[in-house]
Amino acid sequence: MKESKLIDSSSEDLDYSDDTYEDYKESDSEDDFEEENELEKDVKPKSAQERREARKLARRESKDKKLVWDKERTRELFRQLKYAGDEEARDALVTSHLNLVRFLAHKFKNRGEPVEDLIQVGTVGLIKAIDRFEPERGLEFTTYATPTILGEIKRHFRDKGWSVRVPRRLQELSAKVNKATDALTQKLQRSPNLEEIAEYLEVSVDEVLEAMESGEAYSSVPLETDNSLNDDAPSVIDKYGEEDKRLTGSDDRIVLNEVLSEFTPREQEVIKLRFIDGLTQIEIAHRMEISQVQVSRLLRRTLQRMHDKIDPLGNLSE
Amino acid sequence: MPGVHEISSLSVPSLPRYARSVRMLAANLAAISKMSLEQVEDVRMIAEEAFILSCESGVDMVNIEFSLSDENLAMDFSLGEQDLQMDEHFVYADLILRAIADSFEIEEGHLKLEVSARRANEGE
Repeated sequence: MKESKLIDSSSEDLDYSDDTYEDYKESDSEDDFEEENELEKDVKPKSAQERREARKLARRESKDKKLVWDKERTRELFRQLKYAGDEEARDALVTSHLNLVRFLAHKFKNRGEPVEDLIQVGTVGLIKAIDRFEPERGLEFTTYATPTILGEIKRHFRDKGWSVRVPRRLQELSAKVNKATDALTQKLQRSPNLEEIAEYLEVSVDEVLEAMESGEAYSSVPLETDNSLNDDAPSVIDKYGEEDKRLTGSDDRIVLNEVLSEFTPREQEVIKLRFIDGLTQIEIAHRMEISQVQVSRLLRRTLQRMHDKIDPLGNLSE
Repeated sequence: MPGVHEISSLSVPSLPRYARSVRMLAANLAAISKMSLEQVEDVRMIAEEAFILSCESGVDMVNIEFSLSDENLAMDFSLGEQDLQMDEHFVYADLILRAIADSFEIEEGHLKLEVSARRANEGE
């Protein structure tokens, strides 16, 4: 592949098209949608119609500028590159299509890779597309280049083992979400919302939601149901649990006490409230000033740890 | 069962904060169809683009119909009366939708997309 000077995305060689892309980015990407909402919070709320009119006006104003890539200019540059071997034409082609690379790279921004890296990768794809493009076929360059740029970015993720790492990453994130929730609950003295958790962990809300879902998928059938709608519904442990005579012996009590002593005071309290005092999850939540969901999660975790400690080989299970 | 289409629908206000709901429902439906991780991400991406276009087209509510089968996931987004061709974002959206979706067309009042569940060359 012919090498060409890669244009730094912050280069002053870039023209208004950079600003045009920034305008787009502010109005249309999913996170910037939220930023737009944030900015609008302090002003008089606009109706949907007013917002549409404002966008129309912004679009009309930006249309006074040239298109972000001029098709005719692109064709002329390809003529210079392919038939005259003009290397400056290649650089100009790269420059004038960097906004396309940025647009596409931003579509992958919430997958754990820095956007700047993705832009660089996408730029490699752009250069490949420029080198391989055959203008005589009649296709518009951007139509040809987009799949090539996307392919390069996707290959970048595949090379990083992303498809294998993602489930593990989500599992780890799921654990972090739990810890973040506990930390923020302590700090805020209330249950944090998803945005707060995402900000604390420096991830997107989407990732927090996915981690929550994957956390459910990876856990085994919970002994305690996580049924916030019906706290009176019998949990698995209520249905199938019975006094295990094998645990009444003093040796087993010693094991239990040893296991419990390894738990944090909070974990010990929740076990005591649930299994000794017989409180429901909602009652425990009220007593401990946390959410019912957090109580359920705490119970599930501590019971699992208890199980792992007492019966690491699963001999007591069916 | 091959050929059987299961229909879901979603109707949300044309506001940015609903993009995530659209994106996640589309991704979850793609997962039901046993699409690969990469395909699910593609579905998520094009669902968001289509949602943006639908909002830009002037509707108050974005109505989406999803049709799911073993072969593909089809999405039909409602469109308003504003001419999308006049929208600068449309240039970008058109490129990404044509590059990723197996089928993409704009008919009167509708933006229709399809992603095949079985793709021959996932690598390119």
